[in-house]
Amino acid sequence: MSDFQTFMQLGVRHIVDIGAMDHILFLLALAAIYRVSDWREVIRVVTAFTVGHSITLAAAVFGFLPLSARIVEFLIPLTIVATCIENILVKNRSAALWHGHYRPVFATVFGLVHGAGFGGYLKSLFLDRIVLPLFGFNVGIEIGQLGVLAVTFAAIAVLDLAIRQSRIAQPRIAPLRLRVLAVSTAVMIVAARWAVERSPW
Amino acid sequence: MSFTEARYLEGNYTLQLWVRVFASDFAAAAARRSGIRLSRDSVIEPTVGVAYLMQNVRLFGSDGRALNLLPCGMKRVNDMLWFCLMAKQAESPQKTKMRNTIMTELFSDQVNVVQTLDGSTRTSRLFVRGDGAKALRQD
Repeated sequence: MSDFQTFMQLGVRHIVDIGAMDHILFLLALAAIYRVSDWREVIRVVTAFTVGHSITLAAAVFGFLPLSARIVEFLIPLTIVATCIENILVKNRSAALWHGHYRPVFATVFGLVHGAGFGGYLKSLFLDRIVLPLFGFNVGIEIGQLGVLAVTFAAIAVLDLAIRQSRIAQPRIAPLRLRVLAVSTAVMIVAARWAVERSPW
Repeated sequence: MSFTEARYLEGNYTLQLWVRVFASDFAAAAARRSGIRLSRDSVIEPTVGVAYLMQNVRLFGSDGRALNLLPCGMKRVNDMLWFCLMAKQAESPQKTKMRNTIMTELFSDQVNVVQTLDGSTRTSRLFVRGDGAKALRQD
């Protein structure tokens, strides 16, 4: 197998690994507010996350990012908590800043934090010829994210159906809003616990 | 994760491996396997580390027989440990298979990357929990 394919596979594993749920929960938090018909916006947001992730991953690997691993590991769950809070607070996206289209910027900034987490790790292992592995790894990340999103949307569709059939959302809370609240609250609790566990203080 | 660089020296039929592992994780795995208590600074004796590697990195010839691996050095680079292992009378990387189970018993998500240099050709393989032996190079 070529270096590119190997590291692409490694990138996919990095995202879909159940043992390291950071990315999966972050994607779940990002996707929680969308309908399936919003898929273009979702791809924009997720690709923006990959761009941010790739920038700091490369910076860390090439030694331009002297960030402590403990601080980065603490910041990662905070980005998830912040995304969940944003999901909960912004009720009307069309009335929000830039009609709610600021999320790609938001995802890029948080992607910068997530990329720093794995960059130092890769740097320690691969001392030379890092460009092709790094590129393959990033392509793998994007593929992994799209896979996770496909599964996430399938799960969200099932949740939406359950909400509609149970009628607990009627008439005061719209089904979409109820879903956003349920998913964001659950994810936020898990991420907040990680943040406490990983606190450097 | 671990990274192994396998270099085939065709002239003398030798396969040299440099295995890079994170010192603290590796020390935990090696100590657990040997049944020894890990010191607070996570330092293990080199012999314990080498013994663990010998059990978890195996090379096989085309006839299925295990190749004899010899330790050829160890060094610490920041938070990494580098171990050198060598197999003499090795066949080409296409005919030699590796089984790599480093730390897979400890971490379910452990990934071991093996990069083989054979002349100017560079190929990579991934090993995860449950994987068997794989040819170092597959054309």
